Amino acid sequence: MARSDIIKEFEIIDLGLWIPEQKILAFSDFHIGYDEYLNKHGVFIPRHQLLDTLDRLKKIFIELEQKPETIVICGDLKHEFGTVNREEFFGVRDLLKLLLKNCNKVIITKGNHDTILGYAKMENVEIVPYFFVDDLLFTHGDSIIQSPNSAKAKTIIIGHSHPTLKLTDDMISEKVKCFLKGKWKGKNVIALPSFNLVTEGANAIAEHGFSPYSDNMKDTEAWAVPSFNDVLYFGKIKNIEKFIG
Amino acid sequence: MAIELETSAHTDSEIFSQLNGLVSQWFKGKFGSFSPPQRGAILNIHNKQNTLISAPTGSGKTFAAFTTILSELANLAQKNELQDKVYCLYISPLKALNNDIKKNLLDPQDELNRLANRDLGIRVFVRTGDTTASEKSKMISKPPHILVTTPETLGIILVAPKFRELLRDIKWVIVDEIHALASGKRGVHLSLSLERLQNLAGNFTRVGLSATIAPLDKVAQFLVGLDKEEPRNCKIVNAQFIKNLDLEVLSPVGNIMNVTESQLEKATYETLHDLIQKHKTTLIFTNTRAATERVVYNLKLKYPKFYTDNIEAHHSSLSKELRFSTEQRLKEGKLKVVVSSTSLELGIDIGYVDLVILLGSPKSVSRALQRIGRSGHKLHDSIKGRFIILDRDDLIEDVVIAKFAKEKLIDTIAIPENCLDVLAQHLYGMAIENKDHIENFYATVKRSYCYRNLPREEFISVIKYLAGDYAELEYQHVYAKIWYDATTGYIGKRSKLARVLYCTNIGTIPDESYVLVKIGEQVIGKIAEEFLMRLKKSDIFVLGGQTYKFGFSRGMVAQVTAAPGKVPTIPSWFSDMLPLNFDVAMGIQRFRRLMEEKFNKYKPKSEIIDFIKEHLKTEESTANSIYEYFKEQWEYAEIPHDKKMLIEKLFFEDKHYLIFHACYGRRVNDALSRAIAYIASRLYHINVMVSITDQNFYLVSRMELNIKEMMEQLKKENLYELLKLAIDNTDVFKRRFRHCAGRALLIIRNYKGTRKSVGRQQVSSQILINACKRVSKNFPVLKEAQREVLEDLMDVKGCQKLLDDIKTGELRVREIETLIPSPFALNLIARGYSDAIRAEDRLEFIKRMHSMILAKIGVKNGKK
Repeated sequence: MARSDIIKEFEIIDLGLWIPEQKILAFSDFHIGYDEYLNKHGVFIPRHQLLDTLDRLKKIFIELEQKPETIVICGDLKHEFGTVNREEFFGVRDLLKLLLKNCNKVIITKGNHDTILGYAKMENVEIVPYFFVDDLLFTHGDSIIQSPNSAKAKTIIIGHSHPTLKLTDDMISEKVKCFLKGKWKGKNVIALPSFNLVTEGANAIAEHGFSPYSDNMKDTEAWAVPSFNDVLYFGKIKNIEKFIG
Repeated sequence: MAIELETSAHTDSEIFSQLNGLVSQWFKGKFGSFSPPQRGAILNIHNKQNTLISAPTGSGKTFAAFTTILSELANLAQKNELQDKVYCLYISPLKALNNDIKKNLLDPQDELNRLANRDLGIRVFVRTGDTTASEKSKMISKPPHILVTTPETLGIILVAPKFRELLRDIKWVIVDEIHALASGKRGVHLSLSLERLQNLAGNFTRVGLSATIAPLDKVAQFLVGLDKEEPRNCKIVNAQFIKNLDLEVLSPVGNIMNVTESQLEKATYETLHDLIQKHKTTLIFTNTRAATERVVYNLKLKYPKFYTDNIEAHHSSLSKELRFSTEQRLKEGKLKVVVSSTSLELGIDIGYVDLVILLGSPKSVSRALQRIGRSGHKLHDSIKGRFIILDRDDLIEDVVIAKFAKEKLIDTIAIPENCLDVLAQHLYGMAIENKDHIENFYATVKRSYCYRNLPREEFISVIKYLAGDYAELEYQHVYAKIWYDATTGYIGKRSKLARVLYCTNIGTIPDESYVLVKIGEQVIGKIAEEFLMRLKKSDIFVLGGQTYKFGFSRGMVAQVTAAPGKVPTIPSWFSDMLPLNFDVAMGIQRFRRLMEEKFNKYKPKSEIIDFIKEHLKTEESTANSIYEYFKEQWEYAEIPHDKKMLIEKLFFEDKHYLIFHACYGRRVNDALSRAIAYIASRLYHINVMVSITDQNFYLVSRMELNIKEMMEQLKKENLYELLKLAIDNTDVFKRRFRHCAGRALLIIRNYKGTRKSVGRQQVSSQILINACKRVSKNFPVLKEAQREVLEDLMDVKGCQKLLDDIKTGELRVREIETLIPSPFALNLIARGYSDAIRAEDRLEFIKRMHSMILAKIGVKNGKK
């Protein structure tokens, strides 16, 4: 079963983070329209991204067995800057409709790719720069939120960095999507993997630091999600540096 | 008559009687009399016979082709019947060569004008990728009579609405340096362009110019293509051996087996220096760019008084300006010595060179002759070449290549067939030219030698791919480059942008993606993207002769620190090394057998040395080195040969090695080693590392492998399918797939006016491969990448033949155990592994890494 606790009462369910107390399910970085973007830039792969994304979400909802109150998307719902492509226009709405069917409210914390999101407005969908509830702060993570709430937060949940582990042994290496948990000014920071199913993501660890919300990479812990059925805890980065590229 | 060897040599008067008077006058004044290739070729071309001329540089090949053409153009000019259209198309693979040809034609043009007392108005223009728009439009209003171009530009001209009209009446097409084209996809591309030209212009006379190459009849068929499924007629003028060959293999030391590396290096430079000083101008060929730099550096260092600004390197990483300046100074006799990798192999005019030195094995007889042929540029000069051996494997390759050259045995090249990526480009181009019926497309394609056996279903699969059939209907417009109406059978182009897209992305030379290697902001060099994938933190690797420690990568930059004197932990990229030709490899194998016979009969040293000298036509110190090398192998283990494949089992540095002494050249060994490694990975569920050289290969793993069990599963019948699976997850396949995707226009470099690199930077080959596999296992781009790896890069057919020989008992497989690698295996072991055959899929690998890491760092599964 693809579930694992990341901190007490916070559970990894596939590529989503489940917080039972507030009944929040968090995802990040769908980058809907990435396949069309590639097509427009001369890479002619077929467009399976939206369908694959919806299928995977449906599986997560079945796995969860209860209805979240809120689904938070930590930014970069769509891919293109400054324009909306066709896949995004229809895809973002299909995606939101599916999410709304499975929760009461969707909150999108705007990412750097979400420059135009007007078409995504619908009932029970909120678009905000960040979302603060109890002692939790959800934000995209590309920059520090300047708000009094920031200081009050005990746990910060971010997206943006598309973290992966590049596992390397002899000559073989594979990238795998992962959750990262680190510290920033004494607070817990959880970086969510990207839900962009076209690519794995970036080698966040080699590229020193995954967000301004990270101040000690070495003590950061990683959970890899190689498939829907697996969550693998890899421990602290400083202990596994030999095995990752 | 089809393909026929021209045996008659026409006399001067026979030829002159057929030529235009002015041209005869010019020719007599300039050359006096005709050279052998000219005696064979000129009247054939005059009689509109397709002709392939194979002769060394400086034997008058160019005017063997052009004399008739100049004569006919002069005839027309004198009658004032010269029209504004292209009569002759000259195609060469090099822009530099194009400019040379234009210059070479200036002399007869001027002379004919002078003799005629007027400007005859014969125009020669060059059109390449560098030609400006205004020059192109000038050519349309005042067309050249002789158009000089490259294969890629021809592909573009064919869809240029106005320019192509100028080609409608073309009479002659000359393909120069055909030997350099025929064995690769550039040649495949050209062969289809010629058939498209034939559709436009009707029959024309095809003339091919080639350096030494074999088999000539295949190359001739490649040149002329087929008509009604039969090869078109072609005369072959074979003047390959009209010059005297003065060849020798030099061993810098008396016995290469008992010197240290530094002694050998010292002796090598002494030999080099000595040879250079005894000649006026020397050209040295090495096999790599790095070696080229090293030789120049060391000669300057060791003999500072002799080598200052009279020595230069010439290779493809140097800027165009630098290379051009070196060529100019070479021509002007200002350089004593030039060191080159492959860039000076082709026929640009390099002036007077009286000695060519080959440092390191040239890997094939024809390549050796091409390189050596750069000396003695005039017809009656003899060709002088010296091989200098660098190590023990070189030694044996060099002597066998030299023996073959002296015996006029040219090794054969392979011409790629049924390349689906190049086909996709052309079908797109043909759809842009005209809307036409699918049967006419197929018929055109099948006239090319490279597609004469193209199965119909493969052709249809490419048409469907181009029509966007692989995507769902509502998206087809995104992917479709052509439309295909199955009811009427018609095909046409799809978008208004088609022509621009085609013209800016045509060609077969892959767009390699490189990662910059930097220390901080300082750029050290570049490495292939796939090589980066193998590097993990703190790995030591070699770049440009220096060692570096890998830090991390970000985007297309790899950050490193200098690590002088450290031992590399990861081998360099070997896949682009020149492969040893199969015929030469078999020559080595036969010689090995003769040597074993001598040793087994305990023949005295002097008798064996005499045999080597006689059999390989070589001098004393070289023969002595060979003797010592073979004697060590015979005493320590056994000598493998053409009837005995030796497998050496060895436990060495905590790993189990199986060393296969299989001297079949890298292309066969690559296929064979991966097939066996794949079987091992499935049988024992382990990852197996392979390393190959031209003369042997090894498998290495953490457990002992059962050779018999593995060999039983290796059959000729399942080899191709087995290898398709074996290469699936390898670096080499990912790399070649990306090349094929580029050629088949699945990834486009230049799209809608701007040059995009998004395809290279953001989408890994694996994602593309997965996307294609989802469409179909038989997706044409996937199939082509498999074909390219198995048939062009590797030699599956050669490998199948080998398995046949094992089955019939013609080739015996013998296992031995050793404690340290035998002498024949030392070079291989020193090299490190080159690829891995995986037993696990991605998920299994990740899970194994997870368990291993958990075990090492001691954390509980899933929780802290």
